[in-house]
Amino acid sequence: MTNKLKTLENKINNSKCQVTKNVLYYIIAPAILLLIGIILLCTVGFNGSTQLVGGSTFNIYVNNEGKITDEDAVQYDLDKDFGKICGLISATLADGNIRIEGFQKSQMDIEGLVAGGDAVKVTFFNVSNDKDEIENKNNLLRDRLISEFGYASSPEAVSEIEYFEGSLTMAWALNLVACIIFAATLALIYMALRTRNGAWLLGLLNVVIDLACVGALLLICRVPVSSAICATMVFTGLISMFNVYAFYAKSETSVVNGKYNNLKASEMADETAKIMAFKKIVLYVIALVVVLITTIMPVAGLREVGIGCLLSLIASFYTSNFILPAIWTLSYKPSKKKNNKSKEANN
Amino acid sequence: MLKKHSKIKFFILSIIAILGVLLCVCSFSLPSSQNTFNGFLGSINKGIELEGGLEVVYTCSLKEGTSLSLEESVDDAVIKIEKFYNKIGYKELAVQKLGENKIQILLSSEARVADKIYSYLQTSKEVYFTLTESADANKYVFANDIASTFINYDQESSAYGVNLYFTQKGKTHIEELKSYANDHNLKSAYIYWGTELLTSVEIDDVADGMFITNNTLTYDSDAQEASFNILAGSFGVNLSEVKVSPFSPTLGVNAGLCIAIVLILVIVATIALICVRYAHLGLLGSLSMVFYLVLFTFLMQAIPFVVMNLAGVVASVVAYFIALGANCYIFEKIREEYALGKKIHISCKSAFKRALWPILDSHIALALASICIWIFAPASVKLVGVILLVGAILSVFASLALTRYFIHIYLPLNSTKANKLHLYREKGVKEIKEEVEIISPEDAISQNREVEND
Repeated sequence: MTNKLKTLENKINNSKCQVTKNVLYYIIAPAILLLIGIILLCTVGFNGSTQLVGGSTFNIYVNNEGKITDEDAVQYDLDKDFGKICGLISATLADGNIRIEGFQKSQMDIEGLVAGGDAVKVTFFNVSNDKDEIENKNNLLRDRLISEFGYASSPEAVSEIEYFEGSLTMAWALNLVACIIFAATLALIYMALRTRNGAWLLGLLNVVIDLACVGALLLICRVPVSSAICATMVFTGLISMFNVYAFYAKSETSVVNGKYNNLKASEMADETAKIMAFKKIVLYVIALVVVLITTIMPVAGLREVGIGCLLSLIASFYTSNFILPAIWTLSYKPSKKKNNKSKEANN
Repeated sequence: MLKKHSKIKFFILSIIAILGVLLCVCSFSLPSSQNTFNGFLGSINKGIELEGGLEVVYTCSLKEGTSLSLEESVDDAVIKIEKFYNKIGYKELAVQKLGENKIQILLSSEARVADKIYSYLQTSKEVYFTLTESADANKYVFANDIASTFINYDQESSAYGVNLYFTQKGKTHIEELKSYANDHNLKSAYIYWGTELLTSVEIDDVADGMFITNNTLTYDSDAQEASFNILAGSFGVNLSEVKVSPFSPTLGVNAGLCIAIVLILVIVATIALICVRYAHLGLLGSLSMVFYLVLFTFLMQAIPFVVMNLAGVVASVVAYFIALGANCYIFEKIREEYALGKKIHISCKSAFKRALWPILDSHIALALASICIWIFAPASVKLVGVILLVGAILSVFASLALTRYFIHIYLPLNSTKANKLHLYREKGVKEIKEEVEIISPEDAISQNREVEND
């Protein structure tokens, strides 16, 4: 295993791949992604959660105390029969072509019958944007649930189905992205001041490309966008920032260390990319395993974040290996000392 | 003798680490008390995504004399309630309009224990300002001019009170009031709630964010109630509570358990990996990471405004990887130094010297980014900034202080057997007998810069 890894490391280090020379080809993939993303944003938009596009919600009593004595009414235990109850609700709402977002355990009161009885809270997407149509549909669904659960004598056991509008706005998302970019700028300004090399600021381009690519991938993969998306965006921003830090620091160290004597800027960037590629692969594989474990967890919310982070890892791996070296090349200026030395050599 | 001391120190450190881990995960009843210690992990405030919370639904009815429609008034109330909760420290909540005339608030469990403060919104007290001491006098600033309120404590009067923040229209009304008072040489403004005189203030003190108190608000709960009441008075609608019910985590019923499984897997796998790669150095790094985790968990439950949500969990994982990365960076430097031909203890010393500024730089950059997120991000993401900041500080401490100390007390136990530390050098490299100063690339960078500047 160790030998195989060493062989892979040697292969990468000895490869003749010139990343900076072919950067125009490497830009094609993110450019296409962004183009598709923009088209999707303008046509179908994000696959919003109910937090973004609105939805409806209701509570349904599970008759755990057996207070509803109708012939068809079944007594459920909320903890043991949670899956069964969710299945029955899904089947009932499926007839109305309703897309359910989630089920939660809750409690509800039924006047004169139950106080704090176990209940299931259901949230689903609206079928239309018209309020009257939504209200009519919700009333129909409530009637259907009452009959399906056998609550004819106590219809209050299914609460009124109330619609709500999305609470997340585009301004919220833009504020978040702007904040991440600002945070990255601040960090890079610090590095630029510390190293007296303003070129660090150009690394911001990599952060912006990463965030844009992740946004486009979220659109293309139709990942539901909820408030949990902030976790994905912050994750992307941080990873991207650290990729910039690692690449710039490594390049600068290698240049001063004399490893890159007589090399052009593009060759230096290629060399750094090669040196870092193997370690980066190992790190990304570890991160991918963690994210994949999150993705297979049987919790919808976690899965969404897991998929978001997966897309973020893919995007940041690509840009840090194939685009960041070119960005560094753009910003690299040989030191005066080096220029003088080469002049002396020519004379 | 040194070996014996090192063994004793490691034994004591291991006991402290185990105790720390137990304090993090175990809960037990405190002797001679009815209180229970929940463990640091159990004591961290969790948001509605991870622990669920309380759902409160209010029905809204339009107040008499309100110029806005019901829909507009409800929208206005939703914005004001969210701002108010954020201002008093509850970042983990969701306020939204249900149907035509209902408002739903999803509060996290930390808010659930806060004495049912949500019920105060049902009582509204309309505040208005006059320039003569009479409730029927001409009103200059109205209840709906108030944008938000905040509880505060006045040292001079030794009483709690409420800060009033005004809408743009409210600020214009304040200017009108001041202008009228100046024209007629009036010195005081009178603040009423309902028909009751609350207090009088000097004209110059009437401003956005002004502090009001009537000296009867002895406890913070009184001020909190007054604050809620004044806020409710600024709505165009009356609120009546129709439903209060707990709900399970919004992420999914078993979200907490699943996250715990992922986190345990991550910690075990990464610790195993560094132990395999760096052998004894990896073990020392693991011990350092255990201390890091215990301190991190302790601080997360100790900082009162931290409410762990999903973004917070992601930030915690990132912070953990940063701390682990800093340790690995030091170990890699030790390997590089040893490969140059230095003895083990000199390699360790040089490695820490070389790693100091790169680690400090990366962590300071992270801390700056965290502070920026903390200040400017939307309410639910601010926490990420706090977590990353705490993570960055602890990471520096764990890697540059703890790991260094552990290596320092390890060296007397083994300073010759390099294979136990997975340190290797090529056959042709001879061991340097004395401490020779080899300029590190980091030092070379700074020297190079100085030359360039000259």
